[in-house]
Amino acid sequence: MSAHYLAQQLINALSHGSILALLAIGYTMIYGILGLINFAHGEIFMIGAFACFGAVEFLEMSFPAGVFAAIAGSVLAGLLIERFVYRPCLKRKPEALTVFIASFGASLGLRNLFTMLFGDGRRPFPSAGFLEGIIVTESGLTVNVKDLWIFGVTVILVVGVSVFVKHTKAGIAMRAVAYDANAARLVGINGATAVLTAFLLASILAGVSAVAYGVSYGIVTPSMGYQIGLDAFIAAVLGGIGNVPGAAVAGYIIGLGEILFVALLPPGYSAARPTFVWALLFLILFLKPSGLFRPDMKNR
Amino acid sequence: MLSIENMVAGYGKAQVIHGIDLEVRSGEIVALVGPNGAGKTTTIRCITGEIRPVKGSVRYDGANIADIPPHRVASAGIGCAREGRNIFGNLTVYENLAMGGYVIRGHLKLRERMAWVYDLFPRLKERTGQLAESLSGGEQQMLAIGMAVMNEPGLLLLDEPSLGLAPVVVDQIYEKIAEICREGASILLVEQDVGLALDISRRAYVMESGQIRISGPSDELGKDPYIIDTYLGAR
Repeated sequence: MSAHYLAQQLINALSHGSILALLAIGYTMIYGILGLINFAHGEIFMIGAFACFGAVEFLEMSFPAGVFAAIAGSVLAGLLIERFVYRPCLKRKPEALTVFIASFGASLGLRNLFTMLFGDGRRPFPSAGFLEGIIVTESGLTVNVKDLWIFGVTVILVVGVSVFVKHTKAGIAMRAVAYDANAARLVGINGATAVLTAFLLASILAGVSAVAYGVSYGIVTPSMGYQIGLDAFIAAVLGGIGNVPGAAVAGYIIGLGEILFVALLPPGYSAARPTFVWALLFLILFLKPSGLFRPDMKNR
Repeated sequence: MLSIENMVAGYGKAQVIHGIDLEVRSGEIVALVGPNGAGKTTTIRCITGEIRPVKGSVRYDGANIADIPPHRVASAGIGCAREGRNIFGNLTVYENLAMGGYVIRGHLKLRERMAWVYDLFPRLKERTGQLAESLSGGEQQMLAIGMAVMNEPGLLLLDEPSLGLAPVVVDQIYEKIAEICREGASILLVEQDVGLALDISRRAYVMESGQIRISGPSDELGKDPYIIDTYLGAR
């Protein structure tokens, strides 16, 4: 494997890694603050993609407006799931298994609902002129313009959310609630607001990630959030749960790992990509149970 | 300042407090002592709003606070440093104090309060950038109290501030408690160490099995044969 080949794969992983990074931050924030794995996060992502698709194809909006539609769609889905699934469920202080089933049920239910409404076929995702084009460097590496856009936007968002969580009053309050929700209430922090903030941020990133996926792979399907959601969840665990930059870096690691797995093995093996990711997760948890980076929003 | 009347409370069907009256007047330290399981911490939790009393009233500055949620009790001016130290281990000392002052509006005010707390506990200033979980037990207790006084509370609830600390450290903490009171806060102090609690407080309540067994001025209670027999015997 030449350095040139490796560099090309690194470039190829930019988009896939960005999609995972943006989603992984969502998993990590919601797990950090509520202690639950939001399996429906993949569907929040899918609904964002459908919102963008619908806005551009049927309402004939511009592509940038479609990006905002995706964010709006994901945010709406995220807040509704919080309000009508997790809040009533957690209010009764249920067993972890009950929460798991509620989470998995929300994911399954939304995927099925969208399959019923729109069929499970693939739809073409809209694009825009400024995203088209390929750059060839002097050394012969090819870079898609859209991949640069996706990577650039992702880096800005990751830095923005990291700074928010690390340095703003609302961000510090979020980490306080994640550590000890009761102690947070005693100093006057409204835990419900912190939870909503987490869902809001997670959903905004999921909406952007959905557009990145659509632009990158060109399709929208009701089941598009399933596999990528699992992969992003693994990235969140890998990144040290609750650690926002950690989740993002782990997203790129998983993304690159998947690209290399497919690129280096004979074509017949590419169907085993999900298994490869799980094996990677298992191995890393086996060797380093807290993930690669320090958990930041851990529960006590 | 704080007045609890005929309060009944518990967890689910288990009633823990069977109708108590308790008062904290402006500027005084009041001790609430008694054996484990007497309901002292439950009483604190009723004041902070973590538990809703089944019956009776909890009034603070005349308003009934029995039904309002904890984050609003905190902003009404009641600070609480909890047994087990309700600090945020994943945050730095500075961030913990900022969260203690979460309800403070205005950066200047926050700075001013933080300076006051650093003045009170210089050790915290030395540790300002350190994660709270890396502090020693005594430092963690200082931080918990520092957080509770950030918002300049009218009433400070202290639950077992001496728990698990070396005697030297306990003395330091108690000096600071007296200082906080002199600065204007009224204090309700829950303490297992009855001798210590009676020394620092003006009045005291002895709680047993969810009821107030005896109450009165602390110096008188210190001479009460029942108290000496039951709680001060080892002294």
